[in-house]
Amino acid sequence: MRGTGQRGRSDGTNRAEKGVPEVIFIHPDGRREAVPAEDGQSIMQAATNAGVDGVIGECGGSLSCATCHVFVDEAWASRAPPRSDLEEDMLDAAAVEPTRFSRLSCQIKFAPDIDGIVVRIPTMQR
Amino acid sequence: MSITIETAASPGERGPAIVDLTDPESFAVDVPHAAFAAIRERPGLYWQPTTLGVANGGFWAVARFADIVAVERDPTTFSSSQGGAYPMTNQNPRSAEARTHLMMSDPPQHSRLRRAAAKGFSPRVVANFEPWVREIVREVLDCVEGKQEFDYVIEFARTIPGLVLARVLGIPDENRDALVSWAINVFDVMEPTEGLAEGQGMSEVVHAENFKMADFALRLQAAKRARPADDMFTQLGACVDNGELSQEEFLNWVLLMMAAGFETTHTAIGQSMRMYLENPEIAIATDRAIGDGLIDRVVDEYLRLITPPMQMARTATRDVAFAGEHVREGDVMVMYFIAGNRDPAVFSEPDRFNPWRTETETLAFGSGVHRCIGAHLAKLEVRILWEELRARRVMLRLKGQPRRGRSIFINQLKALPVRRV
Repeated sequence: MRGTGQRGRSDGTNRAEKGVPEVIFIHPDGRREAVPAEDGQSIMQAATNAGVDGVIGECGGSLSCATCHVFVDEAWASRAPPRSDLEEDMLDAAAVEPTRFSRLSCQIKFAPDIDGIVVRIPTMQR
Repeated sequence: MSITIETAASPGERGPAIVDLTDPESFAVDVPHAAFAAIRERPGLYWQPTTLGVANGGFWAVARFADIVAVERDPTTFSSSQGGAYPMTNQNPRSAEARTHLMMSDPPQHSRLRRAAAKGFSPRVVANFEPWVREIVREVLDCVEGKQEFDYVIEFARTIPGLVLARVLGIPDENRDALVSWAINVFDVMEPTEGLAEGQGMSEVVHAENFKMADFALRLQAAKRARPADDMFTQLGACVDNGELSQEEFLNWVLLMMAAGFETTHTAIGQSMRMYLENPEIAIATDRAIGDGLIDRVVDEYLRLITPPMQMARTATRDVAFAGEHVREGDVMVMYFIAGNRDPAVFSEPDRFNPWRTETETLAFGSGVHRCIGAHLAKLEVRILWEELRARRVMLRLKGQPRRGRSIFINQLKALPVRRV
């Protein structure tokens, strides 16, 4: 990805290309990774397209595996559209105990109002 | 050496046959790993001519890791609705079973069926099973305490998965032996393929054998409705009562759990010990790695090399260019996980048992939407068995010849005669 790491932010996050909508993943070791995201694409898809370590999405977004679990950063939590009942239910199957900030990232559709959303990757997905 | 000419020629004109993957004899002595290596190295896919369980005169053997993952990632193009494993293929995609059986359905139908049981087999729920699984393993070890010679398959490979599965499902003690015999039979009846009509597969035979447990399943469902317990029969039964599953979906689900939950773990347990006893390098690496705290990696490595269900199948729903081949609508793709698990493009020294290897993702449980729901439970059983064998310093040697099965589906071990030292 052109530009990655060449213009880092003060907090150490790599920089995706300027102006490109992005999602920021925080790895369990604290490393921040910004990846480009397109409107309508799920955050899980953005992660798997960019090869983000720690987000699996085994079932490809059909809400049947719970391996795309992320914790939405508190500052962003209210901006993501709410969980559906099915998502709520499947979160119980996540390998790491869910919190109120937990989401299955295949269920969050990227949109301009969540450009720059920060999510944390759990220590394991299975 | 034959020269491959790029034409729209029919499959099979691409080079000499390497192996007959439909013939149990090809699997009688061992898994044909050399043949799979040759298949992986050849460009494109391997066309296996046959009339068994296929409409188009043969099937594509998919042997490379990346190709298998690509097939499993696209259930729209490569559907399970005509059968999920070879040769239980060439089924009617509009049949009742295609609509109600987990392994024969595609998303979104599949997703709903899967969700009904997903939590019950999830990592945290299965982790809580550890105390009673350990108790079961210890009781099994107690049973062989006085035996100087025994068959490891009978004493360990059959008992542990049978007892664990019975507990998870909620099957009463007095029905356990019948469960085990039936589960073994369901896979044995897949073998004889003589006298079939062209295109016919083994699905009818398997279906008939499967349904011998149907009465039992329905009676148990009723019993659990009357006295609910913390088990899958109760949980799935509740899904029927609240409309999440149809009765037919319930029946297919519990029959699947009983068969699949037994056979593959049964195979993993038997084959792991066979490898340990036959190969000193594997035994040394196992002991050292467990000592290093790498028991989970040890379990993964055994599963990679054994790959109990050697293959699963999909059927193309349209003409598609795939892996350099013209795949036609109706073509069966048989995904050889056991070959993908030794793909040198993914695994360094792929035939070597190496629990310290860095490549940790394998196809032992498949991939994609159908990735095995019982994976965590299977690994738990195998891990606890290794821990307890070690804790009790059980030392075994081979006494006599291990006896393989001849299945073209499951990497069967029928007998493993051992003696204590």
